[in-house]
Amino acid sequence: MKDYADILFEYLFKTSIESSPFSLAWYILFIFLVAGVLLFFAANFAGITSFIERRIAARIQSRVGPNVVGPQGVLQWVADGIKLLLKEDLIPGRADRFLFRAAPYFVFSGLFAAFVALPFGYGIVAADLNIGIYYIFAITSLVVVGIIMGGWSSNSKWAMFGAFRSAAQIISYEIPTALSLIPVIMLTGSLSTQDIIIAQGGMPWDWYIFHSPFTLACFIIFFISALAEGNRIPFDLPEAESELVSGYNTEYSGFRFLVFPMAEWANLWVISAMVTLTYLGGWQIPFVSLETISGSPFLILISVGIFFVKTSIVVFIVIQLRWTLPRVRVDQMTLLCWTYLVPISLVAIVGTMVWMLVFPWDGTPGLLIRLLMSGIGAAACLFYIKRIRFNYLNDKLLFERLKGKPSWYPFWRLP
Amino acid sequence: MTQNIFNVLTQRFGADTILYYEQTSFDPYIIINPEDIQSICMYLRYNPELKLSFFLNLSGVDYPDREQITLVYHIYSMALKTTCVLKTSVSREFPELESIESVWKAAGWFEREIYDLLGVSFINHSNLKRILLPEDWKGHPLRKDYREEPVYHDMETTRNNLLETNR
Amino acid sequence: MERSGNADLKHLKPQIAPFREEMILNMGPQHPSTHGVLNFLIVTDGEVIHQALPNVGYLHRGFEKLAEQTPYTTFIPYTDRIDYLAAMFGNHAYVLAVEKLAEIEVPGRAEFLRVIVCELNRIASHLISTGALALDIGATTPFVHWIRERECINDIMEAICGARLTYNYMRIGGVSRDINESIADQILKFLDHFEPMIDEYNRLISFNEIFIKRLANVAVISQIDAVNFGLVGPNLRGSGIEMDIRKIMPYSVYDRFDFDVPFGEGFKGTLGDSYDRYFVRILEIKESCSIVRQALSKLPKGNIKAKVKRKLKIKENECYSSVESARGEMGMYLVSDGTDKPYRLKIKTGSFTAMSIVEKVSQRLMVADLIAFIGSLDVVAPEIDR
Repeated sequence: MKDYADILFEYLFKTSIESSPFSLAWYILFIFLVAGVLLFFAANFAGITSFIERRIAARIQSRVGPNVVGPQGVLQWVADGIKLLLKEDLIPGRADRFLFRAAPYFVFSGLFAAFVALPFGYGIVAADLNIGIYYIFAITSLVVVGIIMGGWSSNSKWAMFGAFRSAAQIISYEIPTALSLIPVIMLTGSLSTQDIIIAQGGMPWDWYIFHSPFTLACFIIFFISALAEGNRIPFDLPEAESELVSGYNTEYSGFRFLVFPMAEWANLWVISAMVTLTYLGGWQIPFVSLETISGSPFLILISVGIFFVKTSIVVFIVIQLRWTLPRVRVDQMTLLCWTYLVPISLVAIVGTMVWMLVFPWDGTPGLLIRLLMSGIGAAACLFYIKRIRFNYLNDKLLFERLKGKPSWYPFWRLP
Repeated sequence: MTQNIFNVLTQRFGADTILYYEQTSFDPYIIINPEDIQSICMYLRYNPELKLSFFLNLSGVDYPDREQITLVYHIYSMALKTTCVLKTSVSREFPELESIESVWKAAGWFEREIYDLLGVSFINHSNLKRILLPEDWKGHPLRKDYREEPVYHDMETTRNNLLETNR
Repeated sequence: MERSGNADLKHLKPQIAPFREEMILNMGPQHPSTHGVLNFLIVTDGEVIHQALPNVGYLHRGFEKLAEQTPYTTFIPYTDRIDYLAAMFGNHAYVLAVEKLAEIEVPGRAEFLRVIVCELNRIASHLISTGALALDIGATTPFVHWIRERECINDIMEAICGARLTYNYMRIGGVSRDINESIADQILKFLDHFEPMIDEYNRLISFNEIFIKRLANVAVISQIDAVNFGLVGPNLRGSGIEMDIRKIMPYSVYDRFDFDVPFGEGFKGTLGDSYDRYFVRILEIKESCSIVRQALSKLPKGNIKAKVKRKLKIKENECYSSVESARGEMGMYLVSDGTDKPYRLKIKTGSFTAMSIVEKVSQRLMVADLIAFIGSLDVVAPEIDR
């Protein structure tokens, strides 16, 4: 990012940045600009994801969803945000006032600080830290502090229940998250996010997910652990409605309450971005090598677009999982983490070490394995699409039998 | 079938505890002395020929003109597929009866409800408290001479007739 | 002890005597669950429940006292509201009791119509109860799908009797309105559309691994306990005991239909766990569909209501009649005394005994399991409190 700052300074003021006395002021201004852009993007993304999630949920539940505010309802999240801003700012009588006010800040900062290390395109990363990956999920564990503070200071037993459950869940699932990233790091040789993506390639068989059976297992483990980190169903216990009313954010109202779901949707993006950059190839464009990308700004924009598309697909899958599956119980969740995910990821680490030392994974046999596994992955995607088509045709048949009319709407015209 | 049960009971307990057998057109019932209710029910439940193991219902009927509260037990036998109806009566001034919760656990909540609404207290019941009404309610509503208290927790229980006030 | 707020829980501490690490929680009368206004006082050490005391009575409306002041013919709307999710059964139990006492003969067409609406109402009630169980477990989608199907049943009911929830359809001596060809076609079309939906629903949630893990082997009620505590309906049949009022004490015209009564067999776990009770309800929905088809095909022509005096006076007598409602056996014990109002009406419902077993079975459950257990018992608060 520093290169871009220098280029922009030269373009604007026609002098070299090293000779100018205002370089420090310019850098600080640039930092605030980038931070503002990231926050703007993250907050907007949180809002738009809420709208998309409600429309997808409605489609799964065969109803329509919000379609009143704005064209097709796209401004619904703006209306929700304004409504929550205008609500009464309520602090329970016997709550701990300071902690009650401070808790949303921790949650907010913990999640939005993770955007700093996400690589959006070639060279487009706010801070190319050399510990990028570990920085991301270390800073997201700051939300545990915020959640426990929120639950404790609400002075309500049910809120505390939710807070403790959430703390247990997030802390337990940090371990499989970290362990399942180690094969990727071993294969790359570096912790930096840009290096991980550069080490992969554009084509599907160059991604780390199809690199070896061990990394496929680690992909699945990472996906499950990331769901648990983000409090998404099937690991929804801290916010389980019928048991705990709303868990740790029961007593919050107005803008303070808004911070918690907004942080959850922003976390959704962060999780999907992490999955994409570590296992799905990040912003790499197929058929194009890295030197060509660095030359042309048009290809840089395409790489940004590819990153967005891949992350959106993962977000879409996570949203679909939320509205289909029930939630697991507390002891089943910890059982899953400690007796299944951690041992399998440890085995995968040892396997990857052996794979890297013994197996010629750089040459032809490795390429054949990778082609085979990406073929299996493509077959799984085709099966998924076939099932969707089967269900669509079934529903069409049932509708015709019930109503007597030919069909209700074609599949491309989403409601 | 109830005639059969009546005969078995009279043989076991004697005619002064098993008082009367009424052959009505719908549900014939057996009237029992209230002091032996627990032993009779225990015998009925575990008798291998009768096996009246399923407790259907327990109701209380208030007869102020006879100065009695009658308790009606409906019990069912799954082996013989018959229902048996037992009736006992307690006096209205001292309504006390032995609990049959030890025979059928289902009777526990029914007896609590009768205590709550009719005022019959059951001896040896594990948890005889009001169940449907608040614990500090006064009176037993299902009695025929029940009058509601005018004030409950600063809320008046009577209201003016709106047709007269808005005239 | 006042029934208000958190203050009364401190009064309980000497009575329940929790240990130092235990706390008394109030799973309060208001909570986002569709079982009605229920309150549980839970003594727990965090996740494992040591004692769960149900606290009922928030919905007591005094039906039995009201019945003593209402003439026979005008009490029928009250019986709808005993259990508003299965309102036809309340109607049916009451009019059966009155007709038994007054020795009124009901015409054949009315009997078949009663069976049709009762079975449709059983389907609707089971849809709500299985959907609400899935909702409590965390899956929001099945509930919405089931509500959509139930809308079709509500439309049918609206065409038949004008109301969607509390029907007031049956009268003493018959039913109030007749059905014509178009309504019968509507019912058949609905059944053709609905029966494949049960398989789709099973694919969505019933055989889902997480759902099974939440319900199997949870809150097992043994056969001895089920009989001892007087459970009825799908709760009893889920423990493997074969008892259905429609088969053992047939009333109305149920002996002319050919249907099975499903029992629990330990489908995915032990016999008598929550999954058995849930799956018995799913199987009962299928059986009810077949009963409705048979009834529609055998529907005779004739009157829909016998001639009954407007001011019906019954001489001194008493009887007990029961129907197999969606939640078990609903029994009415009716004592008449020669006037046109009952002397005593006692209503026995299935949820009342189901609540009494919660205290014993919830001894070692977790809080999340308690929710699943109450959902699988299918209690509705108005039935308990009347």
